Amino acid sequence: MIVSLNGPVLQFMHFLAFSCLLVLSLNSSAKIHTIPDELYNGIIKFELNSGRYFDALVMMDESYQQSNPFDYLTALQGFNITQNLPELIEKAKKNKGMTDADYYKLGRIEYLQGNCLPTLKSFKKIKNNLSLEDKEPWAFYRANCFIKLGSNVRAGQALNDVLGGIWAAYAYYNLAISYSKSSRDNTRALASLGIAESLNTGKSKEAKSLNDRINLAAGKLYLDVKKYDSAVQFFRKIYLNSESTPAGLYLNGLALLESGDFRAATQTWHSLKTYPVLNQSVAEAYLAIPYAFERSGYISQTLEAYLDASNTFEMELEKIDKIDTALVKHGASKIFLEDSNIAGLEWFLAKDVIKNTNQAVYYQYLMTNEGLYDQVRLYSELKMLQTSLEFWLSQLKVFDESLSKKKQSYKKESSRFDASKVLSKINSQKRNIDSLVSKPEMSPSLASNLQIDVLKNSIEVLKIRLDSLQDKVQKGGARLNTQLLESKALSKTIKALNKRLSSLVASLDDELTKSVRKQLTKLRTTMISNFERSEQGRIHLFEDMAESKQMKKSNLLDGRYK
Amino acid sequence: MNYFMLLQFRTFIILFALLSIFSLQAAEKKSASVNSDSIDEESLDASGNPIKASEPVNENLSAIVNEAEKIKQEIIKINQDLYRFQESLLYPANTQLAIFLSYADNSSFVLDSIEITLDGQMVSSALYRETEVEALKKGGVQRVYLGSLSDGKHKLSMQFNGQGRNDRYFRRKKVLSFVKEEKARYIQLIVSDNNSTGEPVFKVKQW
Repeated sequence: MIVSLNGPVLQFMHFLAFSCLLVLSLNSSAKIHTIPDELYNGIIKFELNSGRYFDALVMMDESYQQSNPFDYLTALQGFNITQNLPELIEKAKKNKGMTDADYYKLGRIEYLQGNCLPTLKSFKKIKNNLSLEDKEPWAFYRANCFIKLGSNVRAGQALNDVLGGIWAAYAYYNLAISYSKSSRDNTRALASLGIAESLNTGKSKEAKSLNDRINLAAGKLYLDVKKYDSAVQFFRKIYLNSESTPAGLYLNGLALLESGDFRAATQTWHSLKTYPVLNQSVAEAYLAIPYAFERSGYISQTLEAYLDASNTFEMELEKIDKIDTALVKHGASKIFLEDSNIAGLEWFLAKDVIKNTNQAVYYQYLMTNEGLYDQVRLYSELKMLQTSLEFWLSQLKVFDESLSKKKQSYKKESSRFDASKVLSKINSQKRNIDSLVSKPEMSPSLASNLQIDVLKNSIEVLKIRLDSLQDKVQKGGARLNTQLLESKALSKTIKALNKRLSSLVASLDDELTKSVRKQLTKLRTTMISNFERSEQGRIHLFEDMAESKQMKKSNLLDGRYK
Repeated sequence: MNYFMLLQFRTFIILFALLSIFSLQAAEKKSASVNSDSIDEESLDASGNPIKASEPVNENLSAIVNEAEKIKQEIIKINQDLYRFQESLLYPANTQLAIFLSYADNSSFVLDSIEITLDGQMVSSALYRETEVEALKKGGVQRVYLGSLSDGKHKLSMQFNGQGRNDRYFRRKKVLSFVKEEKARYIQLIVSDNNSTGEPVFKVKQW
């Protein structure tokens, strides 16, 4: 029976075919990977946990983004694409069946966005099924949130279950700082620092740096309550190559001075002269040396020390002015972020990464400003993107050349390919095998020994391959054209993006320059104040000497000596 | 002579006493010059950096940040297209060989480096940072090699260097012979620990 397709039936069939095509095309655009899901998901996990958020985002197709929204949000947050984050978080939260891992990821994202209440809310939903390695940061984030919200007690409770590790040590350190700021009684702060130290057993650079901070804070707390001997014990534990060293040495000197050991105090402060004066602890040490000499009664040394301090501050002021002039001329990126050979800035030319080069010292100083840090981070991200685009542009150029050459030689090569000739050869081989099989001597055991079945199968495989090759040869020309067009379209898009990116980098450099100059103005003000304090000290000393000379004269006029 | 010496000595004592009094007064006047308040402790964030209050909003900078976010998203999208295009061009599905590396749950092996040799030629090598090893231990999978390969028999050799339990150094080699057919071939290497000896073992899973 023949069924004719007419009217509504035909329309329905068209609709069905169109729907199928639509679904297929949507799927193909949503899921771009060809590797097994298990491997694909693992690759994204690897990129995310290695902190390579850009690579993770590039790997994630729409299908992954939808099925793992918190991984997607983590990557966006990590790569600083945060504009639409609140909306995306709200959307992701509506997902049913959120796991403990999802709540942990959500809490972490909220914490890094600075939203403490949502962080705590999300962490509260975790039903104690966190992995051990996630438990420590979980407690850290909670404790820090409680501190920010003003509850040191709750912060302490949040840390109750944590047994050790650097995260817990950081959390206890933060708690100690919070206690010291909120109360005059520093017992709790000192106790928290003690716990922090006992938890921080690692040998890494990070662990050592934290230990130095703990010792600095503990020493300072003892210094505040005039327990100088205890303070000195903590300051002495600080390593000499740590970022806490200048402050530690300066305060150590202060504790020694207060306990009456002028000589040791002066020696300690002298040792600070090898550190950059940009650090206010070093500047304070320069001013404290003459003070200690004066208290010991060494007037000439006092004058020399004041002169030394004034000269040092003056030289630093000159350096600041020099940097400022260079910033106006070249921009912050050329001065601080890129390799540059700028004539006349001899103190910048050291390209090694030694910590005490001027460039490194100023860079470190500027990076303590959070706003500047964020700008530099954005700058480096944009530069990384620029490098990536330039890499792809060069790759596409190679592809383009290769495709063009292939296209030129394609016609010639494809005309050489004679499918019918190959097919006749295959058929002839098939006939040979058939004739061999039909021979009366061909017993089943001989056929098995000669692997006749395998040979027959190979002939079939060859035929299939020939068909596939014929298809490829037929479509090859068109495919090459499509690839060439795609390559050209991609190049065009990259060039346009690169242009936008370059202008954005230039604008950011302008802003960065402004911000750096602003920060240098603040530094100049501090340095001028240091210089003035030193000069005032010198003037006071001269005044005192003048006054004492007048006294001497009046004494000489005293009647008893006449 | 003695009288003059005594007189000079007494004058010196008086002067010294006066100087000491004045210098002490001056020291008290200038006590602010020795300053312990300028050294502030700060709370630290998760990376050990000080937590600081954010600066006031700069409109120019906000515009730059917004534009940067847009460009970042566009570049991510074009990178996806570029990788897909590159893959289709250089490593078509039928010739593709990809090698992956992952860790089993129990492994305590700390990978330092790997070297991959295909048919006698070194095709890939990698050095591992602590974060990467941690990422692998958390269930991550690293694609260590992607290339094109002709059909037929091939020999893959992988050398692993790293530290096992008790900080013992290990250098292990795994050799795999395989036949590449007319479809993509995925080989996964899994770093694991031998339950009885505790030594690292490398398993191969073929997809």
